[in-house]
Amino acid sequence: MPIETAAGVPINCGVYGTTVTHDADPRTCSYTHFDLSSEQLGRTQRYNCWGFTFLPRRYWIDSSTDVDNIIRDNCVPVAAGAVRLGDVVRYRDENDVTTHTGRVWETDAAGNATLIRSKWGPWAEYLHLPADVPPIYGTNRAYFRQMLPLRGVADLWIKDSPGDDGGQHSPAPWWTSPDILLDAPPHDGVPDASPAFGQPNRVWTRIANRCNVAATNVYVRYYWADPSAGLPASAWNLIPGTPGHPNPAGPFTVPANATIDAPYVEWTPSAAPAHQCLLAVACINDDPRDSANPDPLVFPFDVPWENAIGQRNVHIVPAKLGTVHRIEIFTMLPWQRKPKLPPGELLVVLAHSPRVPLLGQPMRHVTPRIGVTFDGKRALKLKPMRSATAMPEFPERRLLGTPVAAGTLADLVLSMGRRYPLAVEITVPRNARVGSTYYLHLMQRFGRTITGGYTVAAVVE
Amino acid sequence: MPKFQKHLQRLRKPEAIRDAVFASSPYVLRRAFSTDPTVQQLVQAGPDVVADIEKELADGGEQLPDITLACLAYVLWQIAPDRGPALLAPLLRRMLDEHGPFFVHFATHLLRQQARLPVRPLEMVYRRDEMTEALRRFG
Repeated sequence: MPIETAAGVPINCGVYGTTVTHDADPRTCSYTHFDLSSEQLGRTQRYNCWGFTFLPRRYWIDSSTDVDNIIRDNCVPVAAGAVRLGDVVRYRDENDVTTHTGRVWETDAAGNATLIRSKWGPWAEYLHLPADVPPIYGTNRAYFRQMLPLRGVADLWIKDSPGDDGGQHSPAPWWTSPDILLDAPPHDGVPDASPAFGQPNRVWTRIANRCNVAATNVYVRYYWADPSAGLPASAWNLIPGTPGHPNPAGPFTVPANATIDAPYVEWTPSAAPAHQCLLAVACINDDPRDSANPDPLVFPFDVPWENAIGQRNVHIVPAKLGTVHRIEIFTMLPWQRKPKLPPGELLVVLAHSPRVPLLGQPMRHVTPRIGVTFDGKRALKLKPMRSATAMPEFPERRLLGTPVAAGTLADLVLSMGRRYPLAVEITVPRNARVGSTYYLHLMQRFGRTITGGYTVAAVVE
Repeated sequence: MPKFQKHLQRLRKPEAIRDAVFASSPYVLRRAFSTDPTVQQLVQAGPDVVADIEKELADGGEQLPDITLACLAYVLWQIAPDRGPALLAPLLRRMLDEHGPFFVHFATHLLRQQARLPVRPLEMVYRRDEMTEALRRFG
């Protein structure tokens, strides 16, 4: 099937060699395999910058006109100051010819791109400053947001949060996938909010295919992890397969433009720590050089960047009026090797989702008392927000409710591989509205990037 | 020893051509060639270079890196486009089924220009049917 823009304009592309040679540039990116071995994304003619930006490393797109057509048909312009992670950066020269593209990897507080990920012709895939490119690319930079997928490809998609629209990068809370489901015993086929500890729970995932090419021979790999805001790949544990329910589960087909429920695995979590973190990876293989794969994994172990990966880091607490709930989770660095970054922060946001009244005035929220202590030493206080405070970090208010209080624990210096306890205490007010839900989002942030999160949902009973 | 041996030897390493290895398209590669001192010295030397390019193509042929071949086609196009079909058409014919992302477009551009077929002067990117159409004009 030809690859086309959303308007049906064909894209000419090819593969001009499969060899990869090493690049000594420290900016060179790498790919982490399921077995945690790493492969450098070095110099190759298999794909170029345009193939990286629009065709998950599958092909080399020959013509800048095709790229202009993709941007015209599938993207919308993004104004300066409104740039987000995952947006497309386009470089043009003084002749107004498109010379290069990439994806925005980091932004600053003012909404400008500060780090780009792109592939430089037949050379390697790099992380670089926006202006730090070869002079032949020109200095005319513009930003776009890809709104529609291409035709003629597949795009396996596990939603990262209820508000996930399938775009390149999911904003916080990207650890609240509604597509990872579990059925605690007795197994009635109906998804449950929380697992039963010490017993086999059925875990499955709902997988969509956003595009018009079926994905065949698909497997899902199911993982559990200790409850943590920030998870390195090494902290993901493959759920052991059981007779009749292997993990990875599959193979199966996800038809074009369809959603399916993948086969389930049986998961027996322990109660200490209360395992609530589940991850699912839908993939055809683990080969970043397979151009025939209709939807290769591009960012393995990277939940917000990879559509085919979902994470459910949600702890649901049935909260009776006047009760106190204590939960212990962790925070840890989410990298195998720490990039050069400033000290981290712990950002805590309390959001409220009222039960909508059928008649009368909208219900006002009553703020619960929240205690968060980092590593047994540093306590965090939340400050109430006046009105539905505009939070520049979350412009679309995707926090599963209206933010009502927030706090930040700054200057977190975390050591590689160490887990730091986060003690959370929620006191449910006696006059809280029954049926409403409080969401406590605990987010780990480095620079401007949310690098991990955990959400406690207290449902008032 | 060919007069421009050193220049041509240098072109055998694409990374020695300024910015050429960062090119995502024939257009960007052409811009790289237009700013590289070695390439420009060859262009300024004019038709004297043709014999050396002919020998380089005969010796190396499709074994040369794709960017190097594209560079030789570029120089020919600049200094002696009328010699292009004789020197490039056989190579283009052999490489139609397996080629890199650059040379076939530079060669096709030159051939189509010589055959007075429609060209894409800015982008210089051609489909396979346009390549074969150009080759048919030259036997």
